[in-house]
Amino acid sequence: MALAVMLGSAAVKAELVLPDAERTNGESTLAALSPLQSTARAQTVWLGVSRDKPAIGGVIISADGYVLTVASELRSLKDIKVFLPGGTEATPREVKRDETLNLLVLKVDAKSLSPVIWQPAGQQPAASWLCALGDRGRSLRIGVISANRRAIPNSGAVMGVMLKGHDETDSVIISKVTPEGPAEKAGLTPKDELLTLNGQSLESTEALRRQLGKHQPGDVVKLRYRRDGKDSECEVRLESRSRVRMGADDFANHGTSLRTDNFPDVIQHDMPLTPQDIGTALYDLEGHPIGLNIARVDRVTNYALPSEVFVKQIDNWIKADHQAKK
Amino acid sequence: MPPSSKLLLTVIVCFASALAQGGTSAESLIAVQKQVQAALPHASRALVCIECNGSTASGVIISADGLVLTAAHVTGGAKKKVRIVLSDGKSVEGTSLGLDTATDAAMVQLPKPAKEWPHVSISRDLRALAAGQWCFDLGHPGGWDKARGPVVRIGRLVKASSNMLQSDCIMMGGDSGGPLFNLEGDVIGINSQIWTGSDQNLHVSMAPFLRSWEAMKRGETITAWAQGGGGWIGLSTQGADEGLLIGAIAPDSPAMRAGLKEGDVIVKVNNKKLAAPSDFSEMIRSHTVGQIVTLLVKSLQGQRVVEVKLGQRPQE
Repeated sequence: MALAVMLGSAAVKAELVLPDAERTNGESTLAALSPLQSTARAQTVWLGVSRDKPAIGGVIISADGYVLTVASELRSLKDIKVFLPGGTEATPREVKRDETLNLLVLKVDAKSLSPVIWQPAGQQPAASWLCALGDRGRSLRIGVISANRRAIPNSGAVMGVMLKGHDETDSVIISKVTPEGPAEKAGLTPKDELLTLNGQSLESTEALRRQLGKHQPGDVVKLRYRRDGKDSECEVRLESRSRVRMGADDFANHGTSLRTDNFPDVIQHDMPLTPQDIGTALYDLEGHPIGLNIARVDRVTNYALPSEVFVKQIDNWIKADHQAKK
Repeated sequence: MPPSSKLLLTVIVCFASALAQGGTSAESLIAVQKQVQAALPHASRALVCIECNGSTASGVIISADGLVLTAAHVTGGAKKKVRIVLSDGKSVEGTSLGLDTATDAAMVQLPKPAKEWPHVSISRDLRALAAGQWCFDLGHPGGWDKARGPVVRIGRLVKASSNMLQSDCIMMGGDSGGPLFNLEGDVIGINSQIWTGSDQNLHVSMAPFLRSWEAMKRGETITAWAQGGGGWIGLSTQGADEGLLIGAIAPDSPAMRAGLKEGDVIVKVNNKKLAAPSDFSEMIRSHTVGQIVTLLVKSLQGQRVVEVKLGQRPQE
């Protein structure tokens, strides 16, 4: 109201739109948190083929170069570099890939990095502010705990197809592909007959189900298929069923993570992040790192693993790595 | 005063001064958080999930006898049976009432309560809304979920126009019909639509509800604003130094009957200063036919108080 009175005229009030800088994630609102932004940047790496377009973020967990990131979003380390704070880059070595928690620990040759010192997330109530690096590290983002802390059940890894025939012994022929789903992205179309998955024969729809059951979202599987009497091969990157089900309905999503479920415990928050901002640390407003951003789920939702879920395991993996090197 | 509430008061004062400087401090963010957390339990109990037309959406109970506000695209019509899931997961059958398809406002009636339904108040003071103010949003996106609970978002009003509010509380499918609250926990909007941007979240303001309240309760479908246009006074104004200068006065209008004259200046309406003709017409429209508004009017003869009983806008 103060603004309206100050400006005073009808024409101006009708046009009055909050400037970008004043919005919840605008520069002016975030200015008070700039010390936190510097801290977060010093504790964060970006992973990918180039620094400009990282695939995902990662958290520095030791001064000598252990890095924590998200397993499903980085299935292969081929051509992947780790871009460190201060402009240097390094080639990562895989230390541990854990499908249960969806964690990936990497090691790069480095020293004197600024590691996070994890704090337990505890039971903070809904509507508590949190922050994390967004926009691939260019800015801090704030948001709130938006729902109860809980487990997210497994919906399974799928390729986004409907099959002809319901009988378990039917041959595997596609009747529909989910728009923008894994199969469509791989170039599969209705009427294609699927022959093998990673070399294993798919004699029935049941065989396909069994094969897919062995995989996690994010895995790339090799499919041999027959179209118009001609055999070809393609690679399909599997996704969480819950993600594929959302499909193209969610037009305003700006992208989601490949794995969006099957977590033992998550903090749900509403920061405007992209899938490339996942893998970064989640901080409270005092700058305590309390978890790892593990999935971008939909237009509103991000999941973070609370630190108490993974801290001990990570310590053990790093200890085991030290021993193996001796 | 107990120490805790004194602390809160200090924080709020800091918040106000931060706003005046045009910036936001970390303390002011915490003050917003505390206000939302104080209002949240009560607000959550009034939030409902509405299962209708094969999909799920949200709504909010705003009276003890179970009047629910939601979006018109949720109910899609009057006199439909809809399933309402309450905050505790119990479900009851409600009936859709009237709707305003021009602005996306609708009402649903719950059955007679055993005692009274948990409910929140609506904010009737539309003039108090301004771009920049903090707000919070609730909904059951994807349906009622016991493990998850209701989903809360905090944001700021990006734009406040007469029928529609825009906020950066990020919404998604299933949030439709859910409530947008001010920090006091009063409903200021109903979730309506999203565009692609994360700060492009649109809510119906309380104006369409307030001006068509009785018609919507009766089950009418309003397709144009004029039909539910609220009260009519019958004068035009333009901005002037001390208030609003009255221009033309319609013949046989409430303004004429109340003795208002061309050239008079309206200084205050219901004890509020108004700077713009659009504010004046908004203020009048937010009252119903038959309601009385009090004008402080200045003319060459001096100031006088004029009470005007609002009438029905003539057909042509």
